[in-house]
Amino acid sequence: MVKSLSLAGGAALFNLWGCSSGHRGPAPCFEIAGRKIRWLVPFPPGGGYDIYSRLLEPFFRERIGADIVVENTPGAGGVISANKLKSSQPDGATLGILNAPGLLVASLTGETSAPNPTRDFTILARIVRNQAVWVTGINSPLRSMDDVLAEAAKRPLLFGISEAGSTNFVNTAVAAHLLGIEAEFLAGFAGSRETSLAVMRGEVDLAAFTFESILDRIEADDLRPLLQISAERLSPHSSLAGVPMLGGDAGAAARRAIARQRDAGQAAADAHALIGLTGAGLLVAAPPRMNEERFRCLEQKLHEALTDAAFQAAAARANRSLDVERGDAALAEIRSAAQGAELFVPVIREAINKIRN
Amino acid sequence: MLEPILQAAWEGLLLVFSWPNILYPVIGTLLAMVFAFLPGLSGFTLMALAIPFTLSWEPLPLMLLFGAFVGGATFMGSVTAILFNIPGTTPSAATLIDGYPMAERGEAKTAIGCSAMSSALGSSFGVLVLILLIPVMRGAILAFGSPEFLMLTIWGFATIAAVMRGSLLKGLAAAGVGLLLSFIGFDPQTAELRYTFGNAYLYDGLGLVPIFLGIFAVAEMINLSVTDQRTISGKTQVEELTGSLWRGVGSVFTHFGLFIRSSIIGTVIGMIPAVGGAVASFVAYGQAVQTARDGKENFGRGDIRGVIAPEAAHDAKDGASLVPALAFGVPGSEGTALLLGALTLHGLAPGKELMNDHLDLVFALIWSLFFSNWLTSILGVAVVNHLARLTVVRTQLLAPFIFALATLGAYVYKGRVEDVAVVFIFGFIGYYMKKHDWPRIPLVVALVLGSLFENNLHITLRLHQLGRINFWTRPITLALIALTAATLALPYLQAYRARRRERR
Repeated sequence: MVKSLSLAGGAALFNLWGCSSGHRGPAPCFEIAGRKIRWLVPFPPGGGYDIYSRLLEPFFRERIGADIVVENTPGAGGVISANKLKSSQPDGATLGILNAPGLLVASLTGETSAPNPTRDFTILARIVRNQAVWVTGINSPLRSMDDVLAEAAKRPLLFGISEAGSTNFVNTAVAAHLLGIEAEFLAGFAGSRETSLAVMRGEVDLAAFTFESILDRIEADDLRPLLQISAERLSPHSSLAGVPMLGGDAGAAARRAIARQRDAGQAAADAHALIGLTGAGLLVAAPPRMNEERFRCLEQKLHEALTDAAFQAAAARANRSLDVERGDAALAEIRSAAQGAELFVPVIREAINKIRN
Repeated sequence: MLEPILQAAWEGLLLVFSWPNILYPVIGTLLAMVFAFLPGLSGFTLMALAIPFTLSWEPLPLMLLFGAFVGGATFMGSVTAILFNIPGTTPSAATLIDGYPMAERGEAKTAIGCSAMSSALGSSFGVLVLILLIPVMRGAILAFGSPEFLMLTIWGFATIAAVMRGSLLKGLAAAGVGLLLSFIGFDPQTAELRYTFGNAYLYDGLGLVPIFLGIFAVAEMINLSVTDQRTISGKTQVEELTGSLWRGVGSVFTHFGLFIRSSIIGTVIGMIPAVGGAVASFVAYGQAVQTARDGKENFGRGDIRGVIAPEAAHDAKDGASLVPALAFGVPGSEGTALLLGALTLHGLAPGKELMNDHLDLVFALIWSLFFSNWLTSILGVAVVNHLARLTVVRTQLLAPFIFALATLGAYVYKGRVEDVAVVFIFGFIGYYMKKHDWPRIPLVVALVLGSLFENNLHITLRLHQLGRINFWTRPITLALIALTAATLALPYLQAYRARRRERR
């Protein structure tokens, strides 16, 4: 009956029964003391979004002066949680995490009734960018991007994805397009972990994952990173030494454009837009039309929590990287990413149609 | 190779049973039992709530506590299934098929005793397999691809035939409806929306929890309310209850072959990522019906074998689900998803490093799970007399309580009011199905297996079409094809043998 991963009501009950933490923090900068803040997480407990939320919760609670109730409201790739957040009152009592790239892609392709993160929320902070790598199995004959391109010249390459329209699908479809690789897609894996098993079994040639979500598999010598969907090295981790980057003037997209006698500058710009889109990141947001005083207060307190050395140490211990940005700057970045991403809508639609047909 | 594993197993055992470490699994088990029993909460709720409090802990207490949370959260779900026809956990929906009719007959104590013993022994079986598989667990997981998952679900469907009673046509129709319901939401291949009518609530399909609550618990309470039956057991005094705890406990040994087969099913299914215990329980139940030498007439009417099989499979799954979790960080069940989250927060990445450098901690987790499973069953048995009294509570008091519990449970599932509506819609559907003798189990089994089947059918066909696999040369797939054929042929074989015996 009630035994499920989702904890929305459970957490609420837990607090109702007086099990809340009994906050003793500093005075809040707006009237939130004694109240509870619902913190909506768009995916089930135990995943990356949930881990960031639970790591941050004590640090934010200490600063804002209110108890934080983490509610997992999974469904529809984060759309249900985002819609819930969008329709809440902008009184500071409901905040949430957004899967910005997923929502941007969904709203651009018009596939679902997903809200648009550039206009339907009050953006308070970015926690991390979530940039991706292409990986292959450690026993795969594809040991470098040169191997990938050579093989792609002979046959279409098969990419594993969880679902058409997901961020990792966009990563592969658009990057393959920029590199002139004919891509086939195998969709339907239950999640990124299950997709990684398909890569390890050699059922698919390649897949895209956020680097940190797959780092343990790379460290375990199960998977090999082949391409960074970035313009700079994603991490100092040794596995990324010598792994080419898609973006930048001398990146894989530009070099490939030269080899194919295309416009290298345009290819670099397209790669930049893709990196912006898929790296839009994990945002903390409030409902739209929040008044300035509340926004400033929440944004400041959140920034303090996110830049707290103890929080950053806890995140490092949990192997969670951070790329913190303040609300206004994060919003400016995703607006720019959304603009650039409109270029890819035909490519994404074509790839989706290929799967459907 | 085996020596370091045995040594780590011994060290892990010493870690669990030393003072004050033993307090963690004891407290963890008690908390998990309380949370599992309280309406609206569960062992998994407890795990998520505990994560922030354990951030500063050392890894060992964390392992001990979370091992106990995983182990302690299962048995109480079966108690509510047996006593109230409410599946306390989704896998325990299979237990209620025969457990609740036993309670209706006044044999709740027997059913709970059987459930406790089957559950404790089943979990021990799963843990034993987990330990034996440690040296080869990576290979075991990688050997299971989509073709194997597909055949496993087809085998599961074959068991529907076994659990069908009454009209074949009605059973097939119910299974068809279950399949159609499982297709609601995103198409796993094309991401197109199906049967959602533009409603975001339906994007991920209908949840099993609200449907199970409706079709079993609410339907049963409606039925009790409109009939003259005054209590679940039909008795009004505790003294009239006829069940015996020890008969229940002993039944597991009387049907030991069934117990072993069901534990194997739970173990294999538990090892498969993202499949979940509900599949294990229903497939084990179907197998119990299918292999019953005296026919299937008693199943669904309070046959104790219908309690043994799902309970053994459900609990054997706990240990086995740690195999993909520890080897690759892929959760094999809801509980292990949260366990992995907690480990990650402490910088313990599943995989080779954890298995090589922290094997003693891994064993501490395994032993804590083992200990917790037994402790839960022992405590459950200790309070069985009190629990059995609930079956003599008058319907007028019980029905509103169950309706409230179902409402709360549905809302807690994902915090969505729509789930509450689904509970009551399926409550009425379940009631009319019961009233007009339409079988509910084929619908439920098809619903549980439908999306798994569809997903893996697509992936397998596509891989075969692209020449990435050869479906017909995979040993596990072929073994599962043979098992499915045997499952389908068995009733005919049994009928043929019976006819021959009659002729003689």
